[in-house]
Amino acid sequence: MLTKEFTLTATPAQTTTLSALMAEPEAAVSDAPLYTPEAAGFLLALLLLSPKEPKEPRGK
Amino acid sequence: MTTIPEPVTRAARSMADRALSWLHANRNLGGLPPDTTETMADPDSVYKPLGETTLAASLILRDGVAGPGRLAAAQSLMDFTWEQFRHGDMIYERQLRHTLMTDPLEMYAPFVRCGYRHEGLDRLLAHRSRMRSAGSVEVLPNRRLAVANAARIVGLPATEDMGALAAATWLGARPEPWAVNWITAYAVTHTVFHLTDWGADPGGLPPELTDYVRTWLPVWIDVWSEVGQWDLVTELLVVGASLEDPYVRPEDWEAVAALQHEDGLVPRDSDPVDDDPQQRFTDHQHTVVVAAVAGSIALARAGQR
Amino acid sequence: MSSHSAFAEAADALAVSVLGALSGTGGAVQLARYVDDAPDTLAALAAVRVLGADVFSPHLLGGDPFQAQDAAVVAKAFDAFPASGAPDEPAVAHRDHATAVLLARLSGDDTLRTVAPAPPEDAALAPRDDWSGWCVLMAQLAPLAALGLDGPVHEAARAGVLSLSRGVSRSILRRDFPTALRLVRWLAWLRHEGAELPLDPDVAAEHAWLVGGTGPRTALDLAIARHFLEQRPGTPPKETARP
Repeated sequence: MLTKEFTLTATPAQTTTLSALMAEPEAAVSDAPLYTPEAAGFLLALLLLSPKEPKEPRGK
Repeated sequence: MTTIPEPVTRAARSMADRALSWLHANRNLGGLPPDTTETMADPDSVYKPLGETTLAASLILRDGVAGPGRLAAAQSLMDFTWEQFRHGDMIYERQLRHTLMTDPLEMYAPFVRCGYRHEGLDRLLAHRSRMRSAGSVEVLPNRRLAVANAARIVGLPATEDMGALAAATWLGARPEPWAVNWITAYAVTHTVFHLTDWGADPGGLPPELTDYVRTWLPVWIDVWSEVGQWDLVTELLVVGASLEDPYVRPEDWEAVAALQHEDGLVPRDSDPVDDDPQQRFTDHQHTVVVAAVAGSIALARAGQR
Repeated sequence: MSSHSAFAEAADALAVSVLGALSGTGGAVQLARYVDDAPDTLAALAAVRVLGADVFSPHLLGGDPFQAQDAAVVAKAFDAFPASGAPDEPAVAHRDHATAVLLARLSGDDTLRTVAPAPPEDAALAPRDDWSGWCVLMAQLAPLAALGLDGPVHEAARAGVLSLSRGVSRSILRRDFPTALRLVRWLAWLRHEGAELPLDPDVAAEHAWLVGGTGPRTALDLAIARHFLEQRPGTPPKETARP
């Protein structure tokens, strides 16, 4: 049983707010993948255990 | 039955024609510096773009769907790049000096496609194709496909199992389409390019991969169009046009055609285009090449019955 | 505090309570007590309206008995925020009607269906070429991916398996994880209905949650999706009506 009786009615503005919460739009800005050289996993794979680059390339 | 809707062929024609004009008009900005040797300090800066321009011209000539003026421009462009490579001598010297490099074969293939040959290089490549070492150089799977297709075009004996190579690519695993990044998207496009020989052999893409690509291509085009990654998007358009049953949505093609400048430049992304012509060439030449290729392939597919 | 933040906070708090009931750790939701105890009654009623059909999920999925005073609270929420004949957002009418249908069924009082009548035929529902726009609408309709509901929206979902799958992928790539999870919920519902899917909703759901899941309302979408993914296809609701 409800312990308190009440008569509440939302204002039009509150109804609009409710609608907005019920029907949320998708994210306005996309955060889709872009070029990120530092995140390129394959670069890392090459860097691990790869020989140090000689100071003077010997033309090989 | 290949159906390419008329708005797409219209966009494709515009893209290909204007892109070719731009590549031809700006070709000197892509010339090799006079002291370039076969061992280049930075092959990505000029050597690779020359190869890409050659590729575009070779496909326009191969597909033959451009008007006579355009075909002449494409021919002129190929003569230019062949001359830049000293009629093949540079490619030959590079392969001679660096046995394990695969790019000489990849550079040579578009020329061979259009009737240019270098006797020494032919002999060297035939010799190289007998070596287990040259055939096992560690490269990414989609790159192995590039090399395999180039070998086929040049007429070298086929040593690769294309099905196995396809299965070894990211695409071959038919992965979660939402677990892809920017560079892997390019791996996908290149996998399709080489398996279909740039749209000439749509059946070269195995059926299950064709289905997979058809299912998810709209997502990738949508996502990267939204963030203005036009270079990648245009490569994805090539992919769509290369499928057995092409996926070519007019809105996608019209969007890229609309972005193309009057002179044929296609911006690689939504960043401002530099004023300096050399910088513009460096930044956007690749995208112009892709637009030329996309347009040509779409028109070629439209011409089929 | 603006009514937007007050209502949002209240909706989050109610979602936490529903999540607890669903997981079996929190005890029954007790809507009446929730509204009674709330410092801002209107916000609490707004929360009931926002969650809509989802407030019934512990009853449908978990078999919690539905109490008369809970029905009264939901009815009061519709008194305070009457369903509109022409709402700003098309999704709202469908959500409201779904709430009304479940309210009537679970309370055993058919007159309660009238708190939100069935919306007229909606052209926007039909899957269309604009699959990404259609998915935005379907994400807003996620609470309808519930046991015991069927209708035009569900028909649209059945016809839109490919579009929904594309939508999930697109939203994850855009890093819009709340939308992705709402769409995954539809895929989970579809799989429960026996549909074959071109992607694995379980992996997608786990990924979206791990990488970008925040907030109790999104957690609730995930929890309900997981219920569908874990149950044998075709399992009916546990609680269908008061005896």
